[in-house]
Amino acid sequence: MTGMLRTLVVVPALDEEHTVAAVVAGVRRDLPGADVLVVDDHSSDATGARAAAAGAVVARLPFRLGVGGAVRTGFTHAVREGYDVVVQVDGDGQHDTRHLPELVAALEAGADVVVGARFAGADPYGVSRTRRAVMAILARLVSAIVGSHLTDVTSGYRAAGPRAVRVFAEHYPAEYLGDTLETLVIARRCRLVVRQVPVRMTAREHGRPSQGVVGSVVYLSRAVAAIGLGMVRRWSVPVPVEGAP
Amino acid sequence: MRPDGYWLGLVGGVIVLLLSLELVRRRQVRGRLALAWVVLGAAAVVLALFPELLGDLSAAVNVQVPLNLVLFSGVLFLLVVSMQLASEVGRLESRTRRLAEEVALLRAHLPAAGGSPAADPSTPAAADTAGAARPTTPRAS
Repeated sequence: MTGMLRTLVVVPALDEEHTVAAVVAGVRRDLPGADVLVVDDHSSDATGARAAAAGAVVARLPFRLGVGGAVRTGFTHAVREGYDVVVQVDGDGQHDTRHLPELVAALEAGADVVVGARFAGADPYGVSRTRRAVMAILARLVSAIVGSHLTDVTSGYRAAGPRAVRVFAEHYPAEYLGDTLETLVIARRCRLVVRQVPVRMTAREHGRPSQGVVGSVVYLSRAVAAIGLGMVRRWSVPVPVEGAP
Repeated sequence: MRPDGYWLGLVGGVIVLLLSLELVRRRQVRGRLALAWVVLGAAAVVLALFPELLGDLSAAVNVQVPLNLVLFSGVLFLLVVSMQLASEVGRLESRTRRLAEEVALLRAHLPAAGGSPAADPSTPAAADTAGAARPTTPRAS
């Protein structure tokens, strides 16, 4: 299934010592051909050691960069080591690794970026009603920009094909929401094809912040700002090295 | 007769000029920004020595109250400087970020730093946050 494509699974992790080993093991079980890189975002616990013990390569950041910085580290590594495909899986265990082959298959079917969407399937997820409404608005907005039907645009469960890997190794915002919303806009601006695949996610133990109405409004404004930044910033497309190893 | 505030203005201008020259000399300010500060200091000294220049200058650009010209130029100068600083900070931030990513990847390839699966599991955790330096990877933070 993934015979031709060299795949790297990037796991951004911050203080996930209780879950990261299980995530690494899940990836190795469900996508046996792939290598696993855990980017330890300067955790204060034993995340890196647990991940290494579980068989992952661990890159430990010298200080905290946020999810965007951690993930771009993975993309940079992928470009240098000649990986074709990068899949991001959160280290907190909310992403079910059993969907990994489906994400990669969607890439092989012609997409450059595949988003694992939790609202696409029937699995209800513990999110408040206001928050759900906000996310629906964002999904509409980003879908219109990206030109593809997307229902969960803040999902961090994604796969990137060869063209997207080169773009994201160069451009991957470190700002709040930049790593999710803005990257989709960047993908579109670089003429990448974005698709989604329904996935199941388990609710996180530490709840998402700002579930109230005021919080949702703030969240929506920050999200719109992130999308706007993606629209106005300049994104140079890295020169494709066709045929290069 | 010297107008009111003559000496105050002169001393202020000289202080600004000396400070900016000293900053340039110590190479703490570089490039365009250094030039801007020296020009500002020089302008302050010149205007303090010849206050009537300010009146002429204001008349030349049709500003009725000379002080308004000073305030306007001052605000404009600060705005430009802060924009320059903001862009500089942004550039430094993106460079630091890139360097941090490089460091992480380099360390991933060092067997002693917990990179390979066979590495010793005692690597990160509490010792790091306490600021204790490990022999293989001293940190400067």
